[in-house]
Amino acid sequence: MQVSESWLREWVSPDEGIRTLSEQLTLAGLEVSSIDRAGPELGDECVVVGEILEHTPISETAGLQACRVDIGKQVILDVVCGAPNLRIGMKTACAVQGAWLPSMVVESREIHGVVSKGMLCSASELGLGDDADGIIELDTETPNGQSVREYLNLDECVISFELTPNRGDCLSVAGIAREVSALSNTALNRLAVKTVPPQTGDTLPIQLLAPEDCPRYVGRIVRDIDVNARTPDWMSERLKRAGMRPINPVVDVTNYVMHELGQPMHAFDLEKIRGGIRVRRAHQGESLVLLDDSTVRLDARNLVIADHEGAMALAGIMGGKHSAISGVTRHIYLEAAFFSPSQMLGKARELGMNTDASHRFERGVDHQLQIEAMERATGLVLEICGGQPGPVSQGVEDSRIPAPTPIRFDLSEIARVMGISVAPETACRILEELGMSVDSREKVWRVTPPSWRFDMEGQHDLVEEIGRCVGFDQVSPRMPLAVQEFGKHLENEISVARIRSTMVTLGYHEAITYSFVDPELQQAMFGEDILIRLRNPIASNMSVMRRSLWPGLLEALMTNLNRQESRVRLFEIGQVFRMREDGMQGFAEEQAMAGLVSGKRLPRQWGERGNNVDFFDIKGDVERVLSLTGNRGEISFRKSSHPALQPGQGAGIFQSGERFGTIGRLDAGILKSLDIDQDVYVFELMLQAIAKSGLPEFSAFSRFPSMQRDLAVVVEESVAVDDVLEVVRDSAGGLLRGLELFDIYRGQSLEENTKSLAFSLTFQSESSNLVSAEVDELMLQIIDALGMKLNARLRPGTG
Amino acid sequence: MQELSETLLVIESDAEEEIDSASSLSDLEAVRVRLLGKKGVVTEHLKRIGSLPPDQRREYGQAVNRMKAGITDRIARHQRILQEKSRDAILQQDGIDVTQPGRRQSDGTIHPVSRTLDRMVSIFDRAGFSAVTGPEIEDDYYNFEALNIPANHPARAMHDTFYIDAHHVLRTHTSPVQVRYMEGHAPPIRIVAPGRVFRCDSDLTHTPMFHQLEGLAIDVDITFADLKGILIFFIQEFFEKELPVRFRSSYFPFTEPSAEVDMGCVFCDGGGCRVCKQTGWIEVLGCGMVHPRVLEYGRIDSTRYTGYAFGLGIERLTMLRYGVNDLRLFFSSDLVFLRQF
Repeated sequence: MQVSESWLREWVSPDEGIRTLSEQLTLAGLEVSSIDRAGPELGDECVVVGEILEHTPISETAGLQACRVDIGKQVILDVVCGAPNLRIGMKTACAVQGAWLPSMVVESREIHGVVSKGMLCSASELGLGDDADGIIELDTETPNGQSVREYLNLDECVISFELTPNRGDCLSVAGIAREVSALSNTALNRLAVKTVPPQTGDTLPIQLLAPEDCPRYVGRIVRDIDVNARTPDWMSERLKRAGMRPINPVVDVTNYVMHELGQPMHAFDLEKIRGGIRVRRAHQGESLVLLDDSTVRLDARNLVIADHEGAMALAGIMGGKHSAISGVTRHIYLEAAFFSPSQMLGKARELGMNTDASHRFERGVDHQLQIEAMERATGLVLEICGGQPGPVSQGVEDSRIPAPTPIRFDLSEIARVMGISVAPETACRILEELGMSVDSREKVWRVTPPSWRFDMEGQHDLVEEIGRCVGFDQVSPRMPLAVQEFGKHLENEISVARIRSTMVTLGYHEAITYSFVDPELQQAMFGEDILIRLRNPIASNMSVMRRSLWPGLLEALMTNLNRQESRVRLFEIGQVFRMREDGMQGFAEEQAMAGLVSGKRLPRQWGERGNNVDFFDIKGDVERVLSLTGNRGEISFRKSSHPALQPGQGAGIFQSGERFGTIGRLDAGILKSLDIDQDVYVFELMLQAIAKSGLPEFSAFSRFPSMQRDLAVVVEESVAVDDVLEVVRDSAGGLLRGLELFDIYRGQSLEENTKSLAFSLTFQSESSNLVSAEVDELMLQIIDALGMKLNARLRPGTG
Repeated sequence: MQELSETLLVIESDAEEEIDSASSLSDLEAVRVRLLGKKGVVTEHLKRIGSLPPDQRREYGQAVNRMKAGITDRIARHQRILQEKSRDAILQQDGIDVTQPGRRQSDGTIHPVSRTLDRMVSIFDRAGFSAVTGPEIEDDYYNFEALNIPANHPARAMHDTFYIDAHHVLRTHTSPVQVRYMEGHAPPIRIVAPGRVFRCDSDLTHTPMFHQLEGLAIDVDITFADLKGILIFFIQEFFEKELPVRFRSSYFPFTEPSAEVDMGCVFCDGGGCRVCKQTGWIEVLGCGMVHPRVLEYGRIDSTRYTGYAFGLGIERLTMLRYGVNDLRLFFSSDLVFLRQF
């Protein structure tokens, strides 16, 4: 919504300047988004109104004419001009020698032997718009020699508003003026709309066939108009400054009234209407060619204005091509209707449209405005185009017109919600200036909102109106006197912040990637999964909800590899999504953390061989995170296959038998398809599994000396370290205190497909000094068990 | 006797010369043994005391002991000198270049958005607000209807919504957490709900995903004054600056009255610059008193309780705090960007 200052001041003119006023409006909820000049600063003496007295062609080919132009004060100027629309008697803008125009300086020059001492200007040359097709045309009554800047009031401001959807009532000069009046406590100069007496008895029958959608339809015939009359400068300038393009005088008048009063109007060519007006729902499959030449297919949800033969206009959205005003229209039918917001909501958007009319009807147009708007429009049409008006006719279904419903208003609500007290007189004045009628005879008031407000439902709305008019700055901020309830923080909770800082200590950078990913990548990594697709994705490679953080991190890796970063350590914490698996409809989401590492294990530095990262580096990182829970004993890594991981190099991570994570090397095939030629290791954990730690629990410890033994056994490659550890623990008896793997050896001295594992075992008793023989006995027991269960042999040269 | 004393003087001066000329600790030790050892010169003289006539013993004894003390001191002094020299030598030989960098893993970083979110949550934690979360794939009901935005409401056009199916959307704001929480908890309520939100919009200043933090407080006697108090506190804590703050009337379907909050521009101190579009103000959040209908959707008696709610844009606050000038960088995962935080 935009409006020129002079138009607004015609309605209400407070003493405040436009900046102060804008600030007031902005704070009260009508956000002023910009204040601009109406036009460029043309010099007063340099660009003046000129009248073309005569013109003679000087060049056949270029269409140039030598014109004699009366620029007032008995000065006749010779000007050469090539505009196609110039004609004798025409008034236009004439720039004299030396004038500064937005894109040039006018100079006297000789053209085809004729000296041109000025220039006749187009709107584009004056900086008044993009029309460059011909010179600007001004009203014939304009005095020659008057400054164009002054005549067109180019120094005034145009105020643009960013209105919220609840304020449909402010989509007009009248509406903005009402607000200004209430905020500045200045009287409103309501436009006195004169009733135009009918000169003929012509009417069209109006049938309201969908009264709940359109309970009021007002129409009027005006015969014998001059559709080729010129819209006067004052009107076309106001329209332009309101952001509308002048089209023809009839359409301009309907637009003008819409902008002035807030009532969208339409004009039909009377001779195209067969029978009468029928406001009805469209028939299934009915189609209509609109003013913008588009064809819409309609169904029973759409409301149309039809005659007895078919649809003529899409009600409240756009008129039809066939019945539109054209250059040969002689008689017109003017329409002003009230379409209910609930019918209009979303309809234009469904058709991919948003017009000035639909924008207003969706937000609510004053249902008492139609007759006034009709009289105003008739008056303006007659003034510009002449003609004989018929009587105003109206189709109305009173029971469907929104009834004024008083709101019970307990003034103490202002203090309860806003925390300030407002004097009853002030509250009453504000409400009345906003057009409400206030019955304050009893303690609980009865306030009836005006017909143009569609956002007044209960007393909370009245509180807001009073609050914003008094000003939110009148409310003193209050700090809580005491915290009513203290937050809870349990000692055993592992916060996400702590997990995050552990990852940072381990050298990972946190990334945030999009929650929607490329379906092809996700499918390549997760195989069979059912995808959760967005119906309206922003791009096809961002169209499915991620079921893992890996696709996003992999994309992040590629971004960085492309930017010459070959060493990448990233992690992300975020939601991952799946279809629910418990048979219920809907979606399951879980918080996950994933890491991705590729390139060298350590940053390049002295004394480092520059090894690439491997599985055990990332496993070590995961173990560090898991150690936050304090119960590492319950967590195990078990080899498992995964479509995203290289066969044999992936593992599931389990806690008490439940899988909560995956780790491994990304599948070489997937990497190759993405042109990544270095190994990539990833992990992912569901954070719920590690949300809690155990609390430290003291247990008494032995002071007796411990005994240490080393044990190296040779086992088949297929035997896992965990298997060996388990057998050792199970067979060692209660004295084993410590067990560490300290060496793994594969090599020539061993048979193929075997490896040697060396462990350090610590024994200790809680009640006595251990004797060597006792421990030797235990060691034999362990070696036996390893031999039996895992076919392990002592490594030659040990034991 | 005279003769003996002179002998002692000669011995002492010879000894001093010998001590001073020892060039290493081992040389010095050899000198010490030669002089003070079991068979050393000084020891020999001490042993002779017994063989002297009794009248000379005392005097002679004193003289020898004096000489021994002098030599012992001399040795100790020279030992210190030699030790000092030898430390210097070790330093020359075995010293390390302490400016050589330490051996270590590279540094990681926390994403600036997480950093901001953590700070915000902790500021509100101090004010008694607990952090809660809600789903990102949200029921149409919680995202719109329960927030007083019925189907086709013009306010829906303000949210460019991603749809999953007829009933599910990617939440367009963190506000749905309000009603979800109210359903399960009776007042007093003080929560913040941080999280990701989604709008299908992508250009220079919009990304299809961003983060918000929703705040909600419900109790008896909560007014707009409390809302102003908490938000001014938050803004000044967050920016660690006494910034001016103003509340502008606005519209959100789920609050009434509603306000947009502007703070004084942090870049020009309100003087007007490119960032604040010459206005001196920067819009930072939307807020208001919870609409009675929303309270009722949350099964809370709106005649007894009032409440306020607010929604903060995390990326915007992060950009203002750290001077980031391009929103899209946050989701680029570009290490050059991430390393700066």
